Amino acid sequence: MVLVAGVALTSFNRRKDGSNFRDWAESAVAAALADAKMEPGDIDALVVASESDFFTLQLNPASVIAGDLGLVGAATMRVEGGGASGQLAVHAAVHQILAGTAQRVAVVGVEATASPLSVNAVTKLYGYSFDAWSDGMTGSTATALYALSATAYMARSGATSEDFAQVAVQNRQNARHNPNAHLPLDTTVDDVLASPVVSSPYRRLDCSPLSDGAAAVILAAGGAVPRRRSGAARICGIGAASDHANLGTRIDVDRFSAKTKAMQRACAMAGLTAADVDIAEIYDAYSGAQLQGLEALGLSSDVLAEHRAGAFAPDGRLPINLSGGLLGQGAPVGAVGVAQVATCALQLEGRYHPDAQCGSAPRHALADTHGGVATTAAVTLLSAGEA
Amino acid sequence: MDYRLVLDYRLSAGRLTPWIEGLRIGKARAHCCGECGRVSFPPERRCSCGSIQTKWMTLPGSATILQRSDGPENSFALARFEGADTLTSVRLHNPEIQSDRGRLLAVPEGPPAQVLALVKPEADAK
Ligand SMILES: [Zn+2]
Repeated sequence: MVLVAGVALTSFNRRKDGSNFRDWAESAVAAALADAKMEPGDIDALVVASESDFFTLQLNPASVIAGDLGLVGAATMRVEGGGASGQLAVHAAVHQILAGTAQRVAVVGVEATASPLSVNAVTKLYGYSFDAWSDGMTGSTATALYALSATAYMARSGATSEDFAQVAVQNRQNARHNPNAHLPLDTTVDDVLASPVVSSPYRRLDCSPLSDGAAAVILAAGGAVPRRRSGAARICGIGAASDHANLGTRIDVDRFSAKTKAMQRACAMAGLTAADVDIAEIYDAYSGAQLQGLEALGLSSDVLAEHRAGAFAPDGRLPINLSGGLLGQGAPVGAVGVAQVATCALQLEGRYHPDAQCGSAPRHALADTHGGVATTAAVTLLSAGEA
Repeated sequence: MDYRLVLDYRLSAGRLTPWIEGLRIGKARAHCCGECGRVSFPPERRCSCGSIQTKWMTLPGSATILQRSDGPENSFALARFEGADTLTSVRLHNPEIQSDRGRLLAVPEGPPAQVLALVKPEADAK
């Protein structure tokens, strides 16, 4: 059994205060340790999630972060899988605990996506996170590749730009109850549809922002959590899978098939099905990707009908992205998956931000991420702990 | 603190060098699987059947667009090159033309790129 003993997030936004990624990682882990009622000396291993050295010009970031945290001597590593980096780091920690090589592992996801480089530079670098030769050098952007997949999804499913816009509106409304969120906005579908086109059908408000920030979780074996820290949520299933990096090589460019496999693997480990999931944090890098993700994860037999009926709103059957998701909470890439797991744990314990806490005492939560256009998929299932 | 880093890379395309050289002169060089006959453009290093027994072949260079996305500066598409079993992402050279047909354009300078010049339906028919 792996318990989520402690969690913490910094704010996600564009930092203008002169702080850097080491400051954010340090403050997130210190707060997560305090939440877990632990000291740095209790930690056996540190796993750092960070997508790219280009943002910080710090290779091997785990080496310096360990020193900053008083963890020199602990086993350290950095885990990277594009947008899935954060959850893959959580998975690495789970493996260490289940293998018995560590009892307590600190996981910190951190990214300086917003402040060090210009938007143009980051857009160009992100192009190299697909197939760097065929997509990146051709000049394809993340938005364009997601848009091409989304266009095919619209043609197959009947989803409209209004459906996509409603995802962006809802997630940013959710973010208004999250004090850490980057874009807590009160917008309408018309506002989204009136925002400038980035790559059709996606407009500026359909896209998640570039954010700075960090998130940390302290994972521990069942018997390795201080008695004072009772009721911790547990990780009951992890699953990861991959798809062809080139969209054009896939059988269906509009389906996030790697997510389907990752979810099956996590459910098999947990002994759960998609129907057991009460709340979920879904990787909404773009508005339409949330609908494509919900379909691939098997969370609804008719995603569009349920979306239009409000089933995924905070008061719906299956609240999605109560944090605001990437669209509302923000997207410091390496931090995203760790933040999702932290959010799910807090929700299951009933101690999330009060106005964004799911009111119906959820028992099971799903955190879902991917890198590329759902090329590298990683999901985590969590269960409420014993009171 | 402002800091500028300029990196001059010398990258090799490895086994796919003929594909890159083809893009420079507007030739669509594809892989044909020796096991199952699947034709991939851009060439897959390993066929989806698992085989690495691939041969080079040159496609006619015409392509059909299946999905298209337009932005203020660039437009991109998912296209199928004539003779290929796979799709690929391409940049559109002349997005002002509304057509679902195009031809691979030679890109002699700069990064190797898959750029499609759209052709008007009537021009294509001749
Ligand atoms: Zn084959």
